[in-house]
Amino acid sequence: MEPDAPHMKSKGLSTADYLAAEAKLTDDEKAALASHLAGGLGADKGAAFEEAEAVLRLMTWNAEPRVVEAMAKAAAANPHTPRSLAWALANDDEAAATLVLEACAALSDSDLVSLVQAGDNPGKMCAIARRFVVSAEVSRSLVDHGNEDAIHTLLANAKAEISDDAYGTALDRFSQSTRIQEGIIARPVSSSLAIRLASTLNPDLKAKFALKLASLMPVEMPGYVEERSDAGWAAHLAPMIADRSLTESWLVRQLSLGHLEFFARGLAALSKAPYAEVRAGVLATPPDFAPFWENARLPKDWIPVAAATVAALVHVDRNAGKADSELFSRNIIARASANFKAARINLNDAQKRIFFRPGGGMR
Amino acid sequence: MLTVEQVLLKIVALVVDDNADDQSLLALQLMGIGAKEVLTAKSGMEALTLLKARAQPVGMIVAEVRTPDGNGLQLLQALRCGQIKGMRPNATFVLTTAQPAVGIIQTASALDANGFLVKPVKAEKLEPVILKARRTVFPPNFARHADVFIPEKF
Repeated sequence: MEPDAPHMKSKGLSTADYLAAEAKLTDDEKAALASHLAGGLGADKGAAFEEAEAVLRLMTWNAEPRVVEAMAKAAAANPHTPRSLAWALANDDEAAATLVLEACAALSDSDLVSLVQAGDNPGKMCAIARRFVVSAEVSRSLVDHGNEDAIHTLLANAKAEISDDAYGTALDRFSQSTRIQEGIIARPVSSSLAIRLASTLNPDLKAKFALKLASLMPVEMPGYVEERSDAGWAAHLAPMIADRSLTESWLVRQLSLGHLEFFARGLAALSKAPYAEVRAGVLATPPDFAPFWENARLPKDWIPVAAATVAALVHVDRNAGKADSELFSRNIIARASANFKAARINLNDAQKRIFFRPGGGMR
Repeated sequence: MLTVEQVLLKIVALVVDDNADDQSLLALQLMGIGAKEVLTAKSGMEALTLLKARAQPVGMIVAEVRTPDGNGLQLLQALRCGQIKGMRPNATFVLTTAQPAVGIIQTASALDANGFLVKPVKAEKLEPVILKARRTVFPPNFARHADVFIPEKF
């Protein structure tokens, strides 16, 4: 649409034409002209494009803020906006800049990172965090330099790419912020981040996170995993609970054989806690399942032994194959033995029976 | 929002222009809107010598695009590339010209000029342009600014 300016026509407008008419134009007319020119920049970057861009650039330096805002609105929506104009607008007053920062495709990751690193305007950072595409590099920069609002906005952007490392920094910088923690647990998280979250979150969020993890099952679990539904596990464990054969000794023995899932399922059943919560505690670093163990009324002196064996299982699973179940078990026992020694855990006779195997294991 | 007097309260400005009338008019206008002190130079080279000799940095440079012996755009590029000791590379820099050709505007834009005044500079125009120039701070980018080509003549 042609701007409603009686003093000039925008088609073929030169900088000289604009400067000659500038004093006669009202702010409304300038805003209409700016919007028209910025919205009309096309793929053909010939002389007319350059003249229009030059007029727009003059306006960013000289025109009233609302004229620049009108320009920014049109430039943000135009895929042909040149980088030089987008960059000028991105560095303009917040009202104009946020429009371009949020939507303009002409700005590169490097442009966005340098703006974030300059870090003087939280509103601009939030606009960057709302972009349709936020690369891992830009997210990293926002997490390093942004305030809580900017990081919260970033976490709420489902399209933002955020590395585990960046999540870690966000947790470190805003360790007391429920908003940040909630924002993180609402996103897809890797298993390593889940383990960190399990030991970082406050009890309320931990429970919420456990429920979320449960909804995402099955997730990769160290050791041997069985193809069983929740109901299947309940049916499998019920007779053992009934005849009291699901003991601390049996649970730890299962760990030594590589059955971490059985251990967590059994502990959840005995403690009557949701499996996802127990699982999160078992996978935490260091393992944190003592409350469930105590609720299950299992002997407390087995907790360090079980925790050291869980750590051994997770370590061996991460560093060695498990195709050979006997070798896998021997490796777990060897690693657990090292853990006992390092933590000065003295085993009682019942515990020694689990970890002593003729021809191998603990001596 | 701050007034121009508040913005310029402690600012020492440098006006670079080889036209004595334009130079003194602009210096007077800047003093009139609140600059603490206004220094002057006739060329880019004279400006560089003056800036390097000063113990205290200059807060704002207002330079004519076409000056002999180092033009305004070359001075701006030297500043943006961190070649003026004691001055922040993203310090406020306003260009002035009576003939704003497209190429000049493109180069000024590529060098992140904070303001651009078309001569004759009227007092009512100067104030808002200086205010905006002072609040527009571009992040430094030596590599990008060093790559900007500046023709000898415009």
